[in-house]
Amino acid sequence: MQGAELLRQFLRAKLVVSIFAFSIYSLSAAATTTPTVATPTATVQNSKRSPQKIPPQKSLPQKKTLAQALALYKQGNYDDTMEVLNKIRGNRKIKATVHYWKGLVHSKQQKYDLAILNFEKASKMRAMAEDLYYQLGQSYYAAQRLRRAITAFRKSILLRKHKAQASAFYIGYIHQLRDKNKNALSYYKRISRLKRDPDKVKQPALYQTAEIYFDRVKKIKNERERIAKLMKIRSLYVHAYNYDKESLSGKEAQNRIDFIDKQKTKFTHNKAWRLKVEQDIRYDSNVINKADNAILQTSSQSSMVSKTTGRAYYSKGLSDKWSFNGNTKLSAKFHTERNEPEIIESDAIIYALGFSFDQKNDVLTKNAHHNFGLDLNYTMQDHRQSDNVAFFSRYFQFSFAETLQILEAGPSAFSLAYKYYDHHLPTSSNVQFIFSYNQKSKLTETAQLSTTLQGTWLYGKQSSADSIRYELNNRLPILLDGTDLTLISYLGLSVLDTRRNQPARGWEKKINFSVMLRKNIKRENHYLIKLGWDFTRNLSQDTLNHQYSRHQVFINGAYRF
Amino acid sequence: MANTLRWGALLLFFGLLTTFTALAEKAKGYATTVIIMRGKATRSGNTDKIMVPLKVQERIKEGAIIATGPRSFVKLLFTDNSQMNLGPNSKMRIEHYNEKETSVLKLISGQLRAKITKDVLKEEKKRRKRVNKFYIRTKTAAMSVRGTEFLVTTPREGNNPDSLEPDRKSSTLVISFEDTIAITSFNQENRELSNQPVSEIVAVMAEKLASRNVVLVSEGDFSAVRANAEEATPAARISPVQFEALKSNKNMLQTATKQTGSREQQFISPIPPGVDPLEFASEGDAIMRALEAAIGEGAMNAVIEESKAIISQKEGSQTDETVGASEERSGDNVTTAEATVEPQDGAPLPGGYVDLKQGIYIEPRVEEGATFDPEQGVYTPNPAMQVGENGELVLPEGTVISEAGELMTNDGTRYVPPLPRADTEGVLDPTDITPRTDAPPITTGNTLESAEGALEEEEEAEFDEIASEQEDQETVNSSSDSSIIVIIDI
Repeated sequence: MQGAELLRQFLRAKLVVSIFAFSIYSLSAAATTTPTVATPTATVQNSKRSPQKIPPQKSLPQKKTLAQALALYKQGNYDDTMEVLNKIRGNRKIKATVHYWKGLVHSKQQKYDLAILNFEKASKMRAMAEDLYYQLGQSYYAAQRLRRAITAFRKSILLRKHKAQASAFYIGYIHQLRDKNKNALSYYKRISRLKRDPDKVKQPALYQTAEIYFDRVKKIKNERERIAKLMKIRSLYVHAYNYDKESLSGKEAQNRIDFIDKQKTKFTHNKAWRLKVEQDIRYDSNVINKADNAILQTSSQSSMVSKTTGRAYYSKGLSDKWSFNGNTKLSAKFHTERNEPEIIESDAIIYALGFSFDQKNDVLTKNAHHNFGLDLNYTMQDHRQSDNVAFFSRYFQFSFAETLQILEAGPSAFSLAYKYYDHHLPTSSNVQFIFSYNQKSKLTETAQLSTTLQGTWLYGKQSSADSIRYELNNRLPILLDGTDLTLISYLGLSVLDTRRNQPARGWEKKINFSVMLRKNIKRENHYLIKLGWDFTRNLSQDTLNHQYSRHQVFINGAYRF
Repeated sequence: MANTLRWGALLLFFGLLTTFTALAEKAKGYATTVIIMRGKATRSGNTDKIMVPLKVQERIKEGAIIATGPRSFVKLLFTDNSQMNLGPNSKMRIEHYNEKETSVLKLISGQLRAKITKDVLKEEKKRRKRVNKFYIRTKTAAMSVRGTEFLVTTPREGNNPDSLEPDRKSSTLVISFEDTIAITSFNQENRELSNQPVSEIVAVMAEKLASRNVVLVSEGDFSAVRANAEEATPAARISPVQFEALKSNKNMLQTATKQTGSREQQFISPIPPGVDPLEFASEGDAIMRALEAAIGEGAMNAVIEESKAIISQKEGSQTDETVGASEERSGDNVTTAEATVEPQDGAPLPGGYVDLKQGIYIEPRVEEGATFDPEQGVYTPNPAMQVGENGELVLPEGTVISEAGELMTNDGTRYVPPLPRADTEGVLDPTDITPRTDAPPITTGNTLESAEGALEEEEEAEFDEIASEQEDQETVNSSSDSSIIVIIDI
């Protein structure tokens, strides 16, 4: 009996302890499930695998539920945010906002169909969210419901003014996708006119504009026509590229530019032969007998001069990197003034032949080129007024040039040349070593300055003919926007040191300035016409007293085929 | 009274018996007990390498190797209450286990998810110094953990389901679910210490994990150590969507990874090509303003305060228990991830997906239509790639992930996400049909100006609206503004 009583007491005690323990356990459990951010997380995680979902929490104040949802949303816990949002009840305004919020959550989860449903409900319930239609438009776009996307973006612009530029870009781009290119171009054009660019859509608009034309042009079957038009479009891509070179659109534009350049190169290589005929007529105020650079004789006489030239170019790609280029030229120069022998002797027939091998490489810098060249030239002067000695000069020249992309402004070219010069007067024959550096600098989108610094070391058969010539030439072509006109200005300075011509050693200084207007009559550069004026002033102080001034006004027409 | 004493003595006897039995168990060197098992799993003895089938409630000693088969899973409860889940096709070794010291696990291949208890070691209390509870090493990495939950994965050989050997080119990838874990490269040390005793390995790991090149991986972040790499990658956030899915998948369930095939079911990126997703994302606080408009300013302030309190409460509970490594290395060059837009030097863009099979992070690519989530400060990859229910990666049909973490087609070219199709007329609102027009005809002098004629009146009005919204936004002379579209006569 005592044992049974003891057992009863023990069981009673155990019951009390159990109740106590259970109470402690329940309290501690309640404490751990007090609504904090962890509560819905843990509960929802369990609920994902259990049909018994979170119990209704009507007792929770609305603000607490909203706060939970906001906390979860800000922490990126979108599943749990959605669970909490599903529990929120309230008036129409709150319901509308919750639908908008759910749309945002679905959109972040890339469930765009569900996002659309909720944004649409929010729209019907007139949710007061500034980006509702923008978000709806993006979701429609992601779901490929393009016309509805346009409608939503229009509403975003008209009703909410939210991300107007981005919305406009979307509309333009959707028009473009749907081949409504006129509308697309209109949007892009107007975007490009906006002074501020908060959504950074100007450059994509520039790029997509080029893309519209690119898509059209790439369908052209005639290769020549297609390349010519691609070259036009290239300027659009260059325009887009220069806006921001590091952006996505900038890089895409760069890719397109490279593609077009490759197409052009390929086409050029495919078309081995090109011919060009050229006629130049000019008024020369002071004819200089300088047909061959060897002997300089000023006539102080003016004359009209005609020069007719025929050129042929040959180009052949030997491999991906190597190419061969050849050219030949035959020209005839004729002066109308026939009284002075110096003038008549300036009449000449010139024949030139050149070859070069070019190798693209990335050895030193990207897009570098090696060039190995050989040039031959033979000039026959009219000697009828003189004696029966045939007047001629001829030379050959070996050259090596390296073109590098060192500066961002443009390519730099360094060249070394050896020239052997032969003249009908043996004393005028010489050997020349020439070093030159050329730098192209892009000043604006339509202007590129080309500066050349050159030194020529001349060693004559007679040492008295030795000289060093330093030259600085600047050529600046400016493409006049919207036309096919190019304004080319040129400024050249040279100093000649007749080193050993003692005691007549002196410094011959010359300045040369010219301005020329070139017009491409036909788009594909088949017909070219040039008008210009050239002025030369020589400030020679040596005993030969070669001081002179010279004006030339010229017109030049060319046809290339 | 005598009865009471008798019963008391009996209870005391059983109590002491239980205590002594437990102590005896520990004294025998048991480290852990299998509490849940799914599929097939095996273990070796602590000295021999013969693998025998594993059973639930089986106790495993220090030195044992545990391996799981395909779609299998083992949950281990260590005597210090730390939990380790060994995922499918995985293999690990308990190299050293002692509650009073730092224990060492080696993940040979596969996935290990661990939840380390936050109680401090007795040694720490005595010395008033923080000691790491666990060191985990793989073929390429060493990690130290104190009180945290994390997933570490290192691919098996050639991703071959029949192999449990580590891949020759494998990397180790760790994701922290809670608190912080320290990771560093252990490539060279593993080679040098291949036949050294565990005590030597522990000493080297301790030294390495207290060095400068340790990366701290906070909650939501990942870091990886590639084969032969000298350092772990800077920590970066993974996609919040994948993070939550992985975090919820405590039992390491694997679902069949189907590739997304039908284009009709696919979504495309909501960001058009060539634009900056940062600029095309709505502002992060738009929801705050919408809420305020719905519930009023006063209530909104209360909601904000409440949500801040919730967040700080969660963060506060976590910051108490962080890896001691950072504190032990004052002035070191420790890298931690921040939820910022600009990743730290060398860190990948945040928000990408993790391919657990290969242990590769797939960085979101802006040029491939990644969107930006301003709330989280992370990018979201193109929806062509998706995350499955259990956090697994679902790739577009006919694609694979390259070793460099790029999405490639089966023929070896870079995957190009689809653009919207212009022919989805069927699902569109028929009331919104505008006449189809073409590009301007090609005539000399024809320019974008001439395209104006095609502009619909409605669209004109829209742009008038845009223009009127812009203060000082007078249209500028086309010749003076370099951003104006160049006129082209195609």
